Amino acid sequence: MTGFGVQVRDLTVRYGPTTALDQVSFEIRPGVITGLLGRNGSGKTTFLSVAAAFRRGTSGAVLVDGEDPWENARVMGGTCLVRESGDVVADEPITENLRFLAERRPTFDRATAESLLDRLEIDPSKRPDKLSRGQRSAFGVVVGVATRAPLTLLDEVHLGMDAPARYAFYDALLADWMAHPRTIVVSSHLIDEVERLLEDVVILDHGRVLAADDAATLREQGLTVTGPADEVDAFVTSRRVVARQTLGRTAQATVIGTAPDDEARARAAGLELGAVGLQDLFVHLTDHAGDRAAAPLTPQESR
Amino acid sequence: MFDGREPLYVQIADQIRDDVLSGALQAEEQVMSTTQYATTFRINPATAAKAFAELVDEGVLYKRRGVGMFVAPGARETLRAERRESFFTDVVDPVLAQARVLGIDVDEIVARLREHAAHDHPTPQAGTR
Amino acid sequence: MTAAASFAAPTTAGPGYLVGQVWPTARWLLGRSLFLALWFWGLVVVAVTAATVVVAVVGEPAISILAFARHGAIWFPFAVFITVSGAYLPVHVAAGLTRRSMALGAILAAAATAVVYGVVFSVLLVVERAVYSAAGWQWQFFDDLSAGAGPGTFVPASLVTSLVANLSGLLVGMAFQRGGGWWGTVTLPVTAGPILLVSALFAADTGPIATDTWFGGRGLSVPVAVTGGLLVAAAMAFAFDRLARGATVPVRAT
Repeated sequence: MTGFGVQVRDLTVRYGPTTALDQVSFEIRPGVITGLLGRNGSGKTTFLSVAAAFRRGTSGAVLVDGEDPWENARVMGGTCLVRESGDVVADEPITENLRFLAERRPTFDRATAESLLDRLEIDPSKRPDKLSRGQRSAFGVVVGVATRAPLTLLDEVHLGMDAPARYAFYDALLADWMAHPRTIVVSSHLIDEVERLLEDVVILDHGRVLAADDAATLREQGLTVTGPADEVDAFVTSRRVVARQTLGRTAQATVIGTAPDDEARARAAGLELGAVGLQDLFVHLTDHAGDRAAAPLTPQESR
Repeated sequence: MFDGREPLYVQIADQIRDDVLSGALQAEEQVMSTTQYATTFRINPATAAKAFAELVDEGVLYKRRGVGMFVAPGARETLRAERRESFFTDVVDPVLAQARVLGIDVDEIVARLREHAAHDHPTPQAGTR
Repeated sequence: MTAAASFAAPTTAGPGYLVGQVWPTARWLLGRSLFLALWFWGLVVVAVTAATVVVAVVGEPAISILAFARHGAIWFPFAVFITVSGAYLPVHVAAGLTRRSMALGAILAAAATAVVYGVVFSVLLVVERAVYSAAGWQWQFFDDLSAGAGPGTFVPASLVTSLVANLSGLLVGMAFQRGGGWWGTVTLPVTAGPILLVSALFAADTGPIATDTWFGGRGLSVPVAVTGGLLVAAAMAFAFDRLARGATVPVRAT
């Protein structure tokens, strides 16, 4: 076993009249880096909070390593949720915070924490409440990586960090994960940046699961078709078109779903096929400009 | 590196194919491990593993248990044969199509190619091995 | 395999849980409250000494000046323990520890803090009385501690009142945490009221509110008052534990 897996079954979370998660079901594979993608308010933080026993769901279940995490000392002890706000002792120096964690987390590695602090240029004698926003986020990252929890949940931790710090974080996370395999969930909307780290992807939108699959499979479900407008139209007939652009008589359509004879047909019609980036796919899937509710990518699997 | 729109694992596989074709990777030579790929290019090792799996299926790479991935004997020839086949459809045909649009005569293209070939290889008959 | 072997997280019960979760929690919270106690008592000693000198210069002290610190000694740690539910709870849960262990650790820290405040206050009173008698002044505890103002009364009175005050701080903080501002305020008579109640068990006059009629105009005998105070404390500890176990760690904006 390399880390805790997570099973989400019909999880609903309501805050008063607001439904943050609406009967979602998906799985997070143990030992894998999963990206939890979604726009603000999609339910990412709510899900992570339930998984880390920060709060309870309204109905349904989240099982972490097979058990309900709520007040479960074993599961909570093996789960580390780092939120952007950072739940650290704000008025004690970072060195004191490291001692605090080392005493409570059996898997915490102080040497890793110290070398990461050094790499991210954070002065360990400072108090978290005296750090800049970016440095506070970076300290959260240090806690998340060095805790080495079997289930590590990083909720938008890179917000406020500048680009060099973010890339240092991606490198450190990947390197530490390879040396100590465990389950990591990274929630983000900087998809282009984190995409390379991810093996699996869960896309949430308005409290529902739009897609849950491995990143490569997900990407392959999208396709761009470019060429003469009438040929493009003929090619995409009866397919799910999520975007269409025209420039003169040339058109480009983005479709969801592929067929085995796509390449042959495209060649015959003089059309060019292209891949869709995860970022583009995400934007198309979660774009509600047309008042049309987004449809799940793989209805059978996502529910 | 690896910035195109194609999925990363496709780009990695293409890169290895190119290296085998060009001779940068010889038969029986070990390729970088998934871990090395991951740390070098900041990618999830599963992505490199997917590229390797594809190349193993194609017979370009083979796995030595506990050691790593190696270039299969004959991989270069296999790839060459494949690329030659697609050379005309992928490279030559679009040139002709473009030439037709621009009103360039086929003879002009042939002359141009001959001229270049003569420049690169003074004895064209020594030819295409 | 290597990673899995090191995933020994604290177990749910037994000494591992107490040693791994409850004990560090109690020690941490106690450490912070003692740090603040040091400041509090330091300032009290300085202020009382200065006031005694001033009074001695202009006249002759007739009552204990230190006794005026009594309400501060109740309400200051009360305020300190209010912050546990709001500020410490997220840190605790984020460190992978259960609310149960937080409740137990906080109750232990509250009790230990009460002992420290009770003992320090009593010792200072004894010292003050010794100073008064050496100077030939009359020493008198200004509150009407009905059973007499000797150590036999003020030691248990200070200890039990302090314990109830600290637990009350925990309870008030948790009520605000669980129920928000409105419920937190509405429940104050139940969450903070016990401080007045227990003070009234020991004295006929507990300061801001006249309680002299609560028990027929007299405080109760010390054993009865101590027993009553401890029962109230137990009920509060139980209530705090129950509320803490259901507490949500809120989403905070930075």
